[in-house]
Order: sequence, then structure tokens, then C-alpha cells
Amino acid sequence: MGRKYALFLGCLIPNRYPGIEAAARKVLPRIGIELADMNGASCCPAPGVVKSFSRPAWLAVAARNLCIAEDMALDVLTFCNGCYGTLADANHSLKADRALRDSVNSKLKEVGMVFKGSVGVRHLAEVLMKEVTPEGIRRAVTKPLGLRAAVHYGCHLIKPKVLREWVGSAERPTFLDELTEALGAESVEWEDKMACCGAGGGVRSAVLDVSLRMLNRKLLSAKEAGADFILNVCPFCHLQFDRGQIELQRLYGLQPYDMPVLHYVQALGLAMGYGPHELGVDMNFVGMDRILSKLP
Amino acid sequence: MMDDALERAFRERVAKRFGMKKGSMSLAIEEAIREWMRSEEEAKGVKEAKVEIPLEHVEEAPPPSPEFAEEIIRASGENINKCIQCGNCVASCPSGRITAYNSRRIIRKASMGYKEEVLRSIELWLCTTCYTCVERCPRKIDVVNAILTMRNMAVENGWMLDPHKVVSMNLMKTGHAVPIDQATRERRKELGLSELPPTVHQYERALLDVQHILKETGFFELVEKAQPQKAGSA
Ligand code: SF4
Ligand code: SF4
Repeated sequence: MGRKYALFLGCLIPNRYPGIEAAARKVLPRIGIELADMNGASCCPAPGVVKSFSRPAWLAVAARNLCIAEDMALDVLTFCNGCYGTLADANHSLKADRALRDSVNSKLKEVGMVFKGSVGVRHLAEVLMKEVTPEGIRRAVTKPLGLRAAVHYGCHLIKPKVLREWVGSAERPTFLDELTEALGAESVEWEDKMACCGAGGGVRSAVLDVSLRMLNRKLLSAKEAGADFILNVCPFCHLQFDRGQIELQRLYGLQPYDMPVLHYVQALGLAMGYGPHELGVDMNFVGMDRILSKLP
Repeated sequence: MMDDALERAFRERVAKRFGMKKGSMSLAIEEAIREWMRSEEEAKGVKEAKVEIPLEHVEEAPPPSPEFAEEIIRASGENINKCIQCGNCVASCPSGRITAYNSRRIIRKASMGYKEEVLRSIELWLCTTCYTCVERCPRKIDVVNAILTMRNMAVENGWMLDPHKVVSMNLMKTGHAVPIDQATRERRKELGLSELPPTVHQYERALLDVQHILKETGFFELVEKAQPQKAGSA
């Protein structure tokens, strides 16, 4: 068993939430996912911003990142929904459209690269579901979490659906709930579960107010459902949920939600017996007391 | 029962703010209750977010240009003229739920040729690209694709929001839209990771390649010609 992937880090994981990176490097090899660094990779580039400004620049930089994995002859693995959106969609367009590929390759040639279309792009959630399987996760778990999780899929993981057949239903997916329950946690029903966290599309960076109001609805809904923490599979959603809580407090004087936020790899690490510090879960803005005291 | 330490701290603040006189306590308690209720109200998120229109108003709307819809259709491959104005997209929209943002109206205005009005409005930048509407449009219009195409056109015309310019400059300078900072360097070391990730941050040659590609695709020029535009708060 075991499969090797080219690890695409992106920006937010290594540069803002390194705990997620540390957790992945510790935990994933132990469940048969080997990671190889994509040396010299850049920003994916971010779909909400760069793709909004210049599609040609977005596509060419994405193609360069894909070329690095092609040289390693490995499929790309990402655990950021934004990077997944960019790389999977760019890979698809470049494979499908010859003229587009030629025009991108004329730019890549100048830096000694060529896009061949020889690798795939996978989100960690997909690999966990299809290759490791919830059963495999269950076997690796030594300390079932026993917590109530508000599972947040995020948007670009499951949509646009035409390019993500593996997702099943984009309106009511279940795979992340299954993976969460495999950790010995309960995935609670919450009204705003499938809503956007509000960070994407360049909205968070340019119009923070609107972004935070979307977030607030989600947090209220998670709180009402009695969730112990929010589980995500994207560092940008993670940042929005984590830092956003502090901003809601500071900018609007809201009572603190004190809602802990964990990326799936961190939750997996806790369930496999790693300490919170090794997984960087204590590096969030929002404290973890609420869940750490409940853990076995 | 109130926690002792909390009560002591509260009494100290009250004395500081209202003095040690009679009635101070009830004044302070009333204020605290009011504050709490206000924030509870806010937390319900019932209020509509008011977004100031940060881009200059178009004083006298220029006449519609019929080629605009054609331009969008050509660049995006989305036939926005197929839109039946059913409003499904708006009903699904997380942004429309809390602001006056209305994707149906943008599509309609674009289709009617109101180029400048559409390209210069803040509304164009309120879509989070969540794709909910794309999944639900009965006419199979990829609204996100249409919106991204219009955003590209806006930026092409020099209309780019200031915070977006900052993100772009980060990318041009470092190869990361969100580059490393000092606090994260320290955290990486604490976690046993390399101080800099094995990305363009570690490989200068790779950064030069990324910059070359950004220049070749006109990105530098695009960002440099963007005029200052403030983003909205509420
Ligand atoms: S859902 Fe589609 S057809 Fe209906 S208004 Fe929106 S874009 Fe037009
Ligand atoms: S993709 Fe944009 S327009 Fe469509 S529902 Fe999401 S935020 Fe609204």
C-alpha cells in the first residue's frame, strides 16, 4: 500500500498556518500517503483574486506549478480548496484546449518548461475518501475525538461539479462527514452548513465587512447546533473562521464565539494521539480550551 | 452567582468610570446590559450590510454599447443572453443574502450593454465565486465565469480595488499572494519545519521564472496602470 504525491503547499498553509503543514507531514505518511516537496512552487495563483484580474497570468503561473509535478511524475496533492480550484481547473482547461495549451507553452518555453498534461490534481479529502477510505482512517485512530463537529466543505472543493465527478452531490455531499465520523466525532446538522464562509472571490481582502457578515451567519448556525468545533479542509476557510472571530469581536463588539477551528489533518493528528502543540493547533487566534478539555 | 474575581474587576472599573458614589453600580449594570443586548442583536446579523459605493459614481450613464454583451460572450463562452431573469442565482447567493448584490441584475445590465455601469460598480466585486448559482441556473449559465470575465475587463480598464492591488504586488514581488511573515517563521521553527517553505521563498531562481511569466502575460503592466480605487466598508 501507499502512494506518493507531489505536495503543493500554496501560500496560507506554509506562510500563515504552518501547523497544518506540520500535521500533514507527520500524519499522512502513517496512513500510506507519501509526500514529495514541489521545490520552487509559487502561489497557485489564488483563484478569487489573480483569476479575477488576468486569466492569462493566472493560467500561465498555474501551468508552471503543474509542470513541477510533471517533472516529478507524480499527481499533485493539495489540502487547500483554493489551490485545488486553481490547479484542477487549470489542468483541465489545458488538457482539453489545444490552442490554450500552445499559447501557455510559448510562455513557459522561456523558462525552460513545457506543459504536457501528464499528471492529475487531487484534494486530500478525495484521496482520503477513495484510497485510504473511512475504514482505513478508523483503523489508524487511537484516540477517538468524541466531539461534535460542524463540518464545513467549502466551495471550490465540490464546485463546479462538472469538473469534480468524484464529489457525488454538490448540494448534499457526505464524504467529509464520513471522514469526520471516522475520527470518532459526530458530524452535527447545521442550517448554514453548505453556505460559503465569505472569504473567497477577493471579497475578504477588499470588502471585509461583507465577508465577515457572511461568516457571522455561519458561526451563529454552528453555535446553535451545539458544535464543539468547526472542521475544514482549506486554510483560507480556516483563516476566515479563526481570525474572523476575532475581527467580529473587535470590529463589531460581538461576544466571543470561542469556537475552535481545526483543519482535517489536525483533527486526524489529535485522533491518532499527537499532542496539540505538535500539530500547531495552539497557534490559532481562537483558543482550543473548549475541546482540549473534552478530549480523551 | 458571579465569579469573585470578575465581580472585583467590575467594581474597580465602575469606580473608575462613575466614581464611588451611590447609584454607580446600577448605572454600570444598565450600560453593561445595553451593550450585551446590542451585540446580541448584531450577532443575529439581521441588519443588511451597507456597502458604500467606493468607485466613482457614473454621473451621467453613458449610452449602452451593444457590443458589450458580445464581448463578454466571446471572452467567456457564456451566452448571457440566454438568461431568463428567473432569479435562482440571487436566491442562492450568500452575498446577496446580506447586501444589495444581485447577480441577475448584473447579467441583465451586461446583456443590455451598460458597460461602464457594470464594470465600475462595486457589485462586480461582491461575488465570492462560491459557484452555488452555477449549480442551480436553469439556463446553465456559468455566472462565475461571466463575472470573472467582466472583472478582467474592469481591470483591463484600470479599475482595480486598492486592496487587490496590494495582493497583486505581493505576488509580483515574492511569488506568493500571501508571503511569509516574521511570526510564521518563528512558528515554523517551533514546529520543526524549515524556516522558509520549499517554495519560491527558498528558490530565488524559481521566483525569477514566476516574475518572468507574470511580465510576459502582461500582469505587471496591468497592475501598474490600475488607478487608485478605495474599497468599501460599511
Ligand atoms: S439563475 Fe441563470 S437564468 Fe436565472 S437569473 Fe440567474 S443567470 Fe439568469
Ligand atoms: S458564485 Fe457569486 S453570484 Fe453566484 S451565488 Fe456565489 S457569491 Fe453569489
